[in-house]
Amino acid sequence: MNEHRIARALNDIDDAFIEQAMPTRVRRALDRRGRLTRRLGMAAGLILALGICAAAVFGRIAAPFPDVSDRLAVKLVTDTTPGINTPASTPDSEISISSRLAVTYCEQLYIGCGTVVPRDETECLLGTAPQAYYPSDALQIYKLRGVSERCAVAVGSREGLVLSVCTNPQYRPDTLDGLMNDILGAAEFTGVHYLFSDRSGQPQTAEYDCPADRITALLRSARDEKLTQASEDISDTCLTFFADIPVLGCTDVEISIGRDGRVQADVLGQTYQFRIGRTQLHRFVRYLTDNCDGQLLIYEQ
Amino acid sequence: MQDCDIVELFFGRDEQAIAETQKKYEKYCLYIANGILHCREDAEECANDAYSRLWQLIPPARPARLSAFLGKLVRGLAIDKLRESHAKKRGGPELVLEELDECLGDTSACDEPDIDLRDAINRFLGELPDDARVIFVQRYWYMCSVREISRETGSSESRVKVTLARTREKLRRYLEKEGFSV
Repeated sequence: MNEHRIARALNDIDDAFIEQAMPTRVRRALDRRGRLTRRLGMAAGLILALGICAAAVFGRIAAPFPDVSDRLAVKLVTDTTPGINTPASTPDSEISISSRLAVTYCEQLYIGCGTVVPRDETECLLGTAPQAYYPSDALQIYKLRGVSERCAVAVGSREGLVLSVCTNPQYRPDTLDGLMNDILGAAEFTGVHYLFSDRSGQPQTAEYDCPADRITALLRSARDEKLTQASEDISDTCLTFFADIPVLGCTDVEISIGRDGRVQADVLGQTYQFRIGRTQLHRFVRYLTDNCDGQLLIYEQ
Repeated sequence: MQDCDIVELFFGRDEQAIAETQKKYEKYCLYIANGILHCREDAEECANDAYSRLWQLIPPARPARLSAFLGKLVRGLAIDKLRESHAKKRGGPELVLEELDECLGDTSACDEPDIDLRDAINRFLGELPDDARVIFVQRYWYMCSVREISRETGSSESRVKVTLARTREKLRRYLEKEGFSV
């Protein structure tokens, strides 16, 4: 057992000795990552500059969107910044416990996001996991209703009435199909904002009630598109969808669509972008403005 | 991303902290765990457990050197795992640490952190010449093979073995002097 006693004592030797003796192979891997990050940063800057130039050229030839300001009743609103992801309100003690949780399932790490759900928001038991490192009671892992276990699971004791939601920070869907099936399947769309310019060129916002299946169909019209991580927010937004994902404790999830058909979805702290066709976009706007109930939002300062 | 930024993400309870840690230190963690366990799957499990442990420890811990802090977690978990598998089934991969058995007298197994022993080893390492210290730490902390250390240091394998044997003997005498051995 001596070797284990020495091994334990050796484990805590001075950090400087550990860094000094770091094998070259590992050191190079860490250095390479640093160099790669700098190069990628420069490349991203160049692409951004080119993108801005291209947007300036192509933005001028974007098709017009209808002015609906004279067709809608006015609604006065005070909040000018809708759509910020905020967790559902839960007692502080439960959030504290939940945000400290971390479990490994299927070789993936899941960490508590500070949200708790009742047991009936789960579909089935996926397995059990020991508390990482500290031996303690095994935690039970459940599949959340409408959310893929690749993205998030519910974790709790066998007897617990509520379960903590743990998300996988490594989860990144590659395709829109993955995003829709894994997370947005559990989303409840709460409203649509249509942003347009009136006759005098002033920006206006109209709020519409739109059937969720229409929104889903529009988003799915680009189902084979690869998702990309957003390098910049879309600047020329014409539509914004708001949704809640109650099972994950997310409210006002935002999905914005630019006039060029670029879609940006801010979900679970990640920003994804993909494209839908401009024809699809114009068709949707026509449907929205011709068939749905809406109000013109006038913001009070 | 700089280590201090990653630590700040942990303090902000931002899940991106885990992703950034994994992005930056995955190879490092796997290198350490694999050197002990010689099994890719077990090494990956150890690395994941270490990220989870990191999440639990920071805050309140604010490591000055994230790499060493994380490396210690991975190494500790890997040794525990190896010990567990040895307890279940004798045999398996040769344990480099058995070479150190001679350095310490007969003591009972103890899971408590041995702070005095750690401090003594730190003092001992501090007194070693740089090249001997690097060889010792690479062998017994990173669990590098003699061949790997030979390539790293540009010394022959026989010289590495001799250096290790002499350092172990020095450590044995040092610990004896400090009252650790029988």
